[in-house]
Amino acid sequence: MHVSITPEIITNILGIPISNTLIASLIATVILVIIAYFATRDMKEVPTGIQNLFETIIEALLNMVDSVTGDKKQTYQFFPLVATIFIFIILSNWLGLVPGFGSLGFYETAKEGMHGNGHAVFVPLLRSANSDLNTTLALAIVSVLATQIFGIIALGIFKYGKKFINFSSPITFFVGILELISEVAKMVSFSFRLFGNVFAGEVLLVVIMTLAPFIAPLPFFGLELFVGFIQALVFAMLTLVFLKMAVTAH
Amino acid sequence: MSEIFSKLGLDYKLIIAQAVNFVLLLIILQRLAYKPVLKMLNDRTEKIDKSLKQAKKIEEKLKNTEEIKLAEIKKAKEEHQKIIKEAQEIAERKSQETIEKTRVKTQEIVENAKIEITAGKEKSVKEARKEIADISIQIAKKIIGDNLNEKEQKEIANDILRKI
Repeated sequence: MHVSITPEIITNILGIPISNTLIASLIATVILVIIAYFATRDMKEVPTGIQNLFETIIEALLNMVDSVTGDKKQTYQFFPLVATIFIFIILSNWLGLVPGFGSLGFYETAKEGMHGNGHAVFVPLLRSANSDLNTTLALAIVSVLATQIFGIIALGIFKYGKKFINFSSPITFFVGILELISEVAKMVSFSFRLFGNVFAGEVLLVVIMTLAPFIAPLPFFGLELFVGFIQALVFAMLTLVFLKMAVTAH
Repeated sequence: MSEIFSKLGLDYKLIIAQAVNFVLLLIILQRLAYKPVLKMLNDRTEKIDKSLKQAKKIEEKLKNTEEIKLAEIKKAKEEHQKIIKEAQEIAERKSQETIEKTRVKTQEIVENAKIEITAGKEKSVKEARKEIADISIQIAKKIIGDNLNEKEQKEIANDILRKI
């Protein structure tokens, strides 16, 4: 039994390493696009079936965003990013619990420098997308970059830049430096929080399933479903709050 | 630093790939899902709002109509009350008039009858007088004998009549 912190590279396409977590991300993306396509293909005034479900989710998210921004214009501005973050993370987390993730794969003779040098190691074909720091860091970077962009759009580049570089007094200068550091800290905390939770969940499930393969893992699956939801909500909510803070002049 | 990154499995190519994947998903969902669904939700909200307003308007209108109806009914009631009252008055007046006329006529008839009766009485008295006079003359004739001429007879009769 071994759970690697790093994702396993399955193959290389055009110089881009294709990891099993990237494959999981792509699968989540494709599933979302397909659901969105079928939900909005034949929109009716009175919603039924998948359209109804989709509208319910979107309306709930819209209300959540609206409750934080308190401004219709900002709500519509932030909504796509926040909603996509939430939907993508929750689907990725829950997909990681589907049988086949982490269990389907092949054996490969480990190369020089890799773990288990010289032995045949198991390489899972799929792995929960957020149990890879690359995925969570990518999401964090997108989130923090979007925050800066929305801030600049709302306040103008000079007014927004004053938050970080301000020579009007020594105190504001140091506060600006702290703000700069906090932007980096945001990325780190975003990525490690999500990665830590999901990765810990993966490890926990592997350990429990090794100890007692039947029945015993069930409550832990329930727990992981809950954690997957909470982490998606936390990521989306924090992004939303940071966005709101960025567009508010101080 | 780079050792830490590689230990954590960080690879800038993978990060970029994941970021591009996410941004693509964001764009696709925005085009495909959020825009139409939000539009639909907005449209529906507007529609419901409009329907509610319309319902309120209709209710108000109904209330107004009801009020107008009630006022009309009240007015009609008053009118017909008035008409009945007038009719009653007219009827009363007519009957009063008729009664008056009848009374007058009756009085007239009574008066006429009285006059006639009086006239008849006088006539009969006159006649009786004349008769009495004639009888008296006859009696006188019988007593005095038939030696009175026509002229004397008349004188005597008149004399007697005057004395009676």
